[in-house]
Amino acid sequence: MTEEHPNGERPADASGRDERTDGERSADVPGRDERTDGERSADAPVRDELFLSTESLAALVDGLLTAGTEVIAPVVVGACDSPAAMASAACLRPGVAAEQVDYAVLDGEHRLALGEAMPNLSLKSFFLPQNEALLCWRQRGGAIDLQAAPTEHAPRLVLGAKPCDAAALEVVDKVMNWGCADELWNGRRDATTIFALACPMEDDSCFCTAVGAAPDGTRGADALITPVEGGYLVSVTTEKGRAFLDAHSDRFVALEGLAGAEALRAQAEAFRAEAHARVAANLQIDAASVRQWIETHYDDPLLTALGVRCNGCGACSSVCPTCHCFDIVDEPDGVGSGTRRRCWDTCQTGKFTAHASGHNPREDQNVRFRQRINHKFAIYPLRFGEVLCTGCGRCTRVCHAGQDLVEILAAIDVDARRGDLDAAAEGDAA
Amino acid sequence: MIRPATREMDEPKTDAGFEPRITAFVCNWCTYTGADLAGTSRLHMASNVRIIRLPCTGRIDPMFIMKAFERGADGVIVSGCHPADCHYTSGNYHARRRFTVFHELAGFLGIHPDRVTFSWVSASEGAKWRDVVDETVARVRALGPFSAYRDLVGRPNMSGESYATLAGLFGDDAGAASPAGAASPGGPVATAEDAAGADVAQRAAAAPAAARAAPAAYPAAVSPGPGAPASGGPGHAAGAASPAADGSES
Amino acid sequence: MKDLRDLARSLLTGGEVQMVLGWEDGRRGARPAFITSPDDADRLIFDTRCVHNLATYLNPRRPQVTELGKVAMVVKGCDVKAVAGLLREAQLTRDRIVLIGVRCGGVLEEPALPTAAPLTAPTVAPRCYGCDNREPKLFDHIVGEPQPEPPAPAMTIDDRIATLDAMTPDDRWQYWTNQFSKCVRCYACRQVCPMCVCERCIADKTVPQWIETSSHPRGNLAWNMVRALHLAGRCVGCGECERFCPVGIPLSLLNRKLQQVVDERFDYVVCDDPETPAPIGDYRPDDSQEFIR
Repeated sequence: MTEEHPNGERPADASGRDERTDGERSADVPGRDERTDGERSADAPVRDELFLSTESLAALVDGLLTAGTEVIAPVVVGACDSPAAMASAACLRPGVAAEQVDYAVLDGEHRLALGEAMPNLSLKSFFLPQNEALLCWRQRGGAIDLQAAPTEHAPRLVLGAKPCDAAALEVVDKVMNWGCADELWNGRRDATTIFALACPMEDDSCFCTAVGAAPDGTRGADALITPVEGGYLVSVTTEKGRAFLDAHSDRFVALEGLAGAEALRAQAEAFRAEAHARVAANLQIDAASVRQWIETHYDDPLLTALGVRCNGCGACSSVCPTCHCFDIVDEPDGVGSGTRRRCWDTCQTGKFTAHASGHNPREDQNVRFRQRINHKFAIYPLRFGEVLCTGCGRCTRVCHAGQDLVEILAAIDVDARRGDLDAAAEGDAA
Repeated sequence: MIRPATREMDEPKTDAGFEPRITAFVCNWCTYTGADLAGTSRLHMASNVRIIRLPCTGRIDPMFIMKAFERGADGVIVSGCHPADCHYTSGNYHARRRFTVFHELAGFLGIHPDRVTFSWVSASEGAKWRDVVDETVARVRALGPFSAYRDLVGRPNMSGESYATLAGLFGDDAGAASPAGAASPGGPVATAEDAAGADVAQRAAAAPAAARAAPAAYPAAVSPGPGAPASGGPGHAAGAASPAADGSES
Repeated sequence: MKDLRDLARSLLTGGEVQMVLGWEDGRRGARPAFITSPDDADRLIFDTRCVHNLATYLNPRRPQVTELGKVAMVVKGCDVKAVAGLLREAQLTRDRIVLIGVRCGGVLEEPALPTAAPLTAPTVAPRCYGCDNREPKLFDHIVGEPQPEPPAPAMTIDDRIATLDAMTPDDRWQYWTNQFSKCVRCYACRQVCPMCVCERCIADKTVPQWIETSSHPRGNLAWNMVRALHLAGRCVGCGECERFCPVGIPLSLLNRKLQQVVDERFDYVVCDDPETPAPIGDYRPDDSQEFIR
């Protein structure tokens, strides 16, 4: 399990006590992003340079698959995969869409679903798999052989990532390189080129603009593609993106000099601007004052009463693109051999903080749910300068007990603003 | 590659081919004694069964049966005192209800009913024990190895991660010399990888690439060769049964 | 639901209970409501979107509701069977809960709708078909008008089980291992189940480890089998486990199958009378045993 120490608690440092404040210490974090959320979402401006027709995209994908390159994209997945059962409807749950969209490795069998429904799970499982072998051991006589997991991977492409999912990867990069570098995560990140697809907004549970992301955001993406008539416009963000486009330049047409380029540009810009406005209407909060409020209202009933509806099922953690906690187990597969694995874990279960003594510092669901809000909107910003959330809204959609993060953040924001107004009034009066 | 729990479980290959490994969970007072009687009466019977003695069938948790399959059993026998004869009066009555539920659920999940045999064998029924053993071994031999169960560990999940990939990099699982430069603790991964790379690529080529459940397995950690990435990890392609890939499992 | 709101208001005002547990309208449809003030009693609703089994909040593993004091809970017929189960197993004492039974005609499969929708073959929750407890028999108060039977769904759960039963064992194995390869071991099924009350779940036991915790299909098979077996004769068929599963595994097929087995073999159907003993833990000398040699 990895988790930052909550504000104020530090392990005793045997080799020399670290006297710095948290603010000073977290400033050491390499790559710490000092920008505000507003500034950050304006980075890497979108500049449509190239046009990719629908046909060329299909040809690009086919070419990549033929060459053996792994391509990850949103596809339509059936409610069940067995051909025999598909034929029988026994697998279908009425009320659950017979077809759902999810990110998967393209294999020629599932239909590509770019720009359709939001994928069920995020891209997280391709960088931090649900279950991942770390090393294998085998005893041979008095010696132990260890085989560590590979950290180098063949280059692969993610095509059609939601901007919130791409941004989440950069957010989690911070903790994955905090103190020590997680080479398994980094290895997959390094091997992957990400093409984000500008998003029209999924529904009214989306709130990416309120937390520093955007439906046309370029964060975490090596290139952004925006749907237009006949295909997509492409805007390059990083060197890696540029290198990919150069390697496949025969599929892309430069916009400059292309007939009708202005109209296409206008289409793309309108798409992005409208999506941005739609999402912004869902929730507007001041993330800094929300963080401030959480830090100073630890025992406020607004926070401590949030958990009463929560079942502690952890579904929110599994669908969340930024949740990254994991557990490690050693699984023997015989005498003297076995595998060490890590798998997803969730702070919403009691076992997460159960001590060997039997004591549990987070003993009830109220405390555990408060911890979730605390970690995402106060502790992570303290450590790394940004919220551990990109506003994809999956937690709200998947919660069958009716927990609603949009509602919760709005309530905290309202209370925070009221507090600010009160403080200002007192200041005036003083 | 899942190694057998003990060396003794490696049955010698006979001319007949596959020899099933059967685990038997039996109660101390009736069936175990009955099995003893079969032995002292020098009855001839199949030798594929390893007996685990429990005080009573009431002690048997369905998880024991599942654990046996996970650890390499091809079939399981569960046996105890006849109803009304339980040494602890009612242990086998409770067991009977649990067995009923387990038997139905296992069948519903697609575990062939011949893989798990339930019986009541009393202390004086040495011959019946012989019959139960012989029949079970014959039925399981006809069904073949239950590698489908323990190989589930190697099946790719939704993100294509395959759990057996790493263990396969050790090389030959029958205990022969690991690839030269096998990683010592903290040793460089690259060396073992390079050495194992050729081996892995060979096995990957042997395992039919078509045997993938969607989505495809994550490529094994070798430089991308031509053609498909390893499916399900060497030696554990889902459902594939190419002899090379199956290693020493037989 | 005026009767329900009035009742809730009077229970809270009179101090008989500290909280009323029911349903309310949220931004995304009906959801559980936790009413502690008489002024909030008007938030309570009851309609076809009230799918949630509120008995899960009585689970002793999650005391944040019951530690507030005496609780009044609105219960449908399926929910009250879970309450009876908790009483049967001494996980709850009768004097800590006031049961407000509500007459029910079925619920929707998906409650995330802004307003209640009528029940039709495609939208009704399949588990409602054939319900034997549309008027709960265990209650302190009962509200609501008698409701008609829910419509039959396009395919009942029993139909789907029959389809699976008709397959060969190999096809069934394929089907279930495909389903279990989706499992991410979030344990949502366990967390939401009112009958999963073990303080230390067998899946969390590590010394020794019985169920492989990794989310590979073999570990997932073990987990789902064990949970189904531990619910045999106890599952009330509320369907919450399946509804909560974030990856859409049809758990209702597993649990309903064992309900059928327990009915056929032990002549037992789970009911809302806490006095009837559960079938596992009980036995008859003449239980069937044709599968035992």
